[in-house]
Amino acid sequence: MDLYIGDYIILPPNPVSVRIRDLDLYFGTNQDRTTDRLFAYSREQQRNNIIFTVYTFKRLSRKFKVVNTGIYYDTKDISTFFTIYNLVSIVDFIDGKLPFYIENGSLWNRQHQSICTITPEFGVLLLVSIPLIISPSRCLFLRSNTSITLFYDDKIAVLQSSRVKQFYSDAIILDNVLFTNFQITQHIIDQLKKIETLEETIVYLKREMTFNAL
Amino acid sequence: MDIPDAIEEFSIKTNQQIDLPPDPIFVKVGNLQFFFGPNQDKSKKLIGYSVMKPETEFNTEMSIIVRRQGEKYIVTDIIYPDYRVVIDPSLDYRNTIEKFIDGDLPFYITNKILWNRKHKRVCNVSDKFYLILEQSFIVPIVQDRYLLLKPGIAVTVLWDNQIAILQSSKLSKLHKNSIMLDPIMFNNFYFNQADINPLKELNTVEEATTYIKRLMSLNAM
Repeated sequence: MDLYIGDYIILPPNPVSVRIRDLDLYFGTNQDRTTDRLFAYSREQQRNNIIFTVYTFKRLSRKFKVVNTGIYYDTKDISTFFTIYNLVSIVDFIDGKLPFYIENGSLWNRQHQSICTITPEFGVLLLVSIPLIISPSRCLFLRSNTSITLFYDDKIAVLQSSRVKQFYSDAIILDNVLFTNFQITQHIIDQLKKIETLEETIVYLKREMTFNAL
Repeated sequence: MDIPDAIEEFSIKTNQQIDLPPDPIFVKVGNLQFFFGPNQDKSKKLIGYSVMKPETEFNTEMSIIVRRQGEKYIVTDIIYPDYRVVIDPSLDYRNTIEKFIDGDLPFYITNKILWNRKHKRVCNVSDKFYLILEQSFIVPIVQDRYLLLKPGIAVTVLWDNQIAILQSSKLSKLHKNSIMLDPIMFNNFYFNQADINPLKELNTVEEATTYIKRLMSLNAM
């Protein structure tokens, strides 16, 4: 028996993995439990496909109401990705791989507050980039020879190559040569952990990129 | 990028000595950029995947395994992408390598052997066991200790370089050391955060297994 929008369920406190109506729902260990919003997903193997179903719950006193559901097949095809990246971001958010999720054209933080609006192209680019976690609220997204996106304490900054089309209105455009030979080592990550602000981080990365290009 | 192109484009060969900076995360190897990530233990062995043309398709990357010998690095394996028709793509163990490097999986599988973050051999993995692992939810406890939940079927305890498998007796044995339990133990079994916290204090895989069995018994009552 499935869960439908409008259904009410009772959950144990701080659920991680729960079986409801023969559905195995995974809530993970990373969501903020102090708000009235909670995500879960189930996954099911059908032949060679994995089907993910994403559920959005609203807390109403002791009960939770299903307010949204979405379904997608795990895919390797990036063109299909444009139609499902919102749901993929929520599954990655539940799994703790992302410190945010994407919904309705906006990027939302762990407390479900809107950070900024993003285009589908930028959303997909974030999800196919290589994420590098600096701290629970700070993350770099690397695209080889193309861009570095910084998600820092609910702020976004994009350093991108002049070779590719601008995909974020406030992107900092840099000469392509700075991206060509850029390397990241643990030393750079350790330095990034010590830096306090997004602005200082941008200055530091630009300096490292210039140093690498010399 | 197809296999011949990838092979042709990559300038490094097996057994070749290469230069790497200390603790590489995203660096050039030969003529390609490779991602090694921040999650694996790099003291003796490293595994990385190339970032070639990811804008076209996923899974176009090749992987390299590098052995560290003092200050030197030797490439021991190059694993190329494979577009041949695989009878069951879900049995393609190369999926685990990329997920491991990204930090999404606490292990990877090569040659039907499961290796942990420190590149230590943990156990052999059958196709059937691999499918269960692939479909499991991963619950981190502390570094190098995880629960892999396949609800209704199995709880795998990955504890440093040891593994314990609690599985429903309705399935054939996933591993020779599987602990077979009545299916009723898996029905309605759930975890919440309060159940996970005590696991952080346990030292051995045996203690963790006993604790989980006790939780399952309580749930079944």
